[in-house]
Amino acid sequence: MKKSLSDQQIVEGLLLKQERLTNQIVSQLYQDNKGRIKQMVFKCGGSLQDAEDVFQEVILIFIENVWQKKFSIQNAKISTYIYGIAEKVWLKKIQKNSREKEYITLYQGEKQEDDFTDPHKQYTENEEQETLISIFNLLKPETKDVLNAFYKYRHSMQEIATHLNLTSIDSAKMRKYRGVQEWKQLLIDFKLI
Amino acid sequence: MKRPTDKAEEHDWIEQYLFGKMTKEEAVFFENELKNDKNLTKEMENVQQIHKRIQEVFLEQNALNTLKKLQALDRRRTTVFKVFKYAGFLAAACAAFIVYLSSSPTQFPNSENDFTVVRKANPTSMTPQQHYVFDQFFEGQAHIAEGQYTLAIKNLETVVQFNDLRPYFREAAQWHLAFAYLKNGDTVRAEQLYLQFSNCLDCEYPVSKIDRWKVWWQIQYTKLF
Repeated sequence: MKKSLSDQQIVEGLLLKQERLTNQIVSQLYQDNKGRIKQMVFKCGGSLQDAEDVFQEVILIFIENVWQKKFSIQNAKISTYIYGIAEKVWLKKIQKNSREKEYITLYQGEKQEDDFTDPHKQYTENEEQETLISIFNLLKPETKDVLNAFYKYRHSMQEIATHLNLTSIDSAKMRKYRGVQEWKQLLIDFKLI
Repeated sequence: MKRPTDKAEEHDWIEQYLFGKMTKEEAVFFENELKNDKNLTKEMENVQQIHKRIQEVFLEQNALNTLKKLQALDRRRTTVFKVFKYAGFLAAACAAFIVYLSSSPTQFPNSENDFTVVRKANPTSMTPQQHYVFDQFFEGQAHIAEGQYTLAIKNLETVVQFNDLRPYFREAAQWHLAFAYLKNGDTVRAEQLYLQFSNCLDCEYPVSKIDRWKVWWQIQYTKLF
């Protein structure tokens, strides 16, 4: 059994941006927080699928907030902070589903004081935060293909040209350059560079 | 050595430097250009930011995949747990039902002191034979209640041999007799009598389904063990 990481180790581990370590941290965050978040979602009439969706979004937001130094362990325990994000994500989701009034009344009636100063306040600043994955998914499929092939799988331009049925390496280079520009524009639009 | 003039080529050029794919001379040339051109420095920072963000996307994709796998595993575990839980409940319910069938007393409809056991019976003017059958029927029931099954069998066999019985009480006597056989260990005769009533459509003596099951189950159980 793997040793449980402390809050400090989790933050430091995420900042290292290593695939294996990130996955280990995600597993721990899942095991430590799934019960509470599921309970919160179920209490407000959500399904298991809702709870899973909320959890996925929460973890991505948490990771990004650590990377962008928006989260500090001086201000909150990770579990409390994650719960705070989950509350907001879930409320946003039920608002979207036009069940707002019924659930919010129910939820606020049952909400209890937590052991943390104010996780909501911290998250409110990022309330409209889109995750990087969702921004990346705004790219055209062919753009995603070329960026994945080059930056993720480290394929050569020759391999990319063959894989994408392009006539020459130059065409592949041009496709990649346009893809990078498209990605850059999205990052500018979302104020990420 | 020449610096690329085309934007796309310049992007490739910067990436080659960042990925360490330049020769030593090319790298020195690139670094000199960086020193002399602030725009190139800014462009390289942009490319680094773009790379950083895309690497973060890939890390997030991996994290998301890990999370989805864990969630799928949990769902499977929950399903297995539920199946076991319901199977357990079902098994417990079956076991409880079997225990109930095996141990709870069989209740036949009551016919105590009914003088119409025999046809045309008038309590004031019964023939000695009618009186005898009447007594035998209730004695048989009393012996069953006392656990004296051999005596009960004797009483009830006498009753069913009498021709002038109302069908209702003939069936009552046969049910009691089947039960007495069963309790006395004579499962063959008990089953023979039971089978007479198992698919009976015009039976008059109303033995409930659950009591029929009890008799059937106890016959099968005695046959097995």
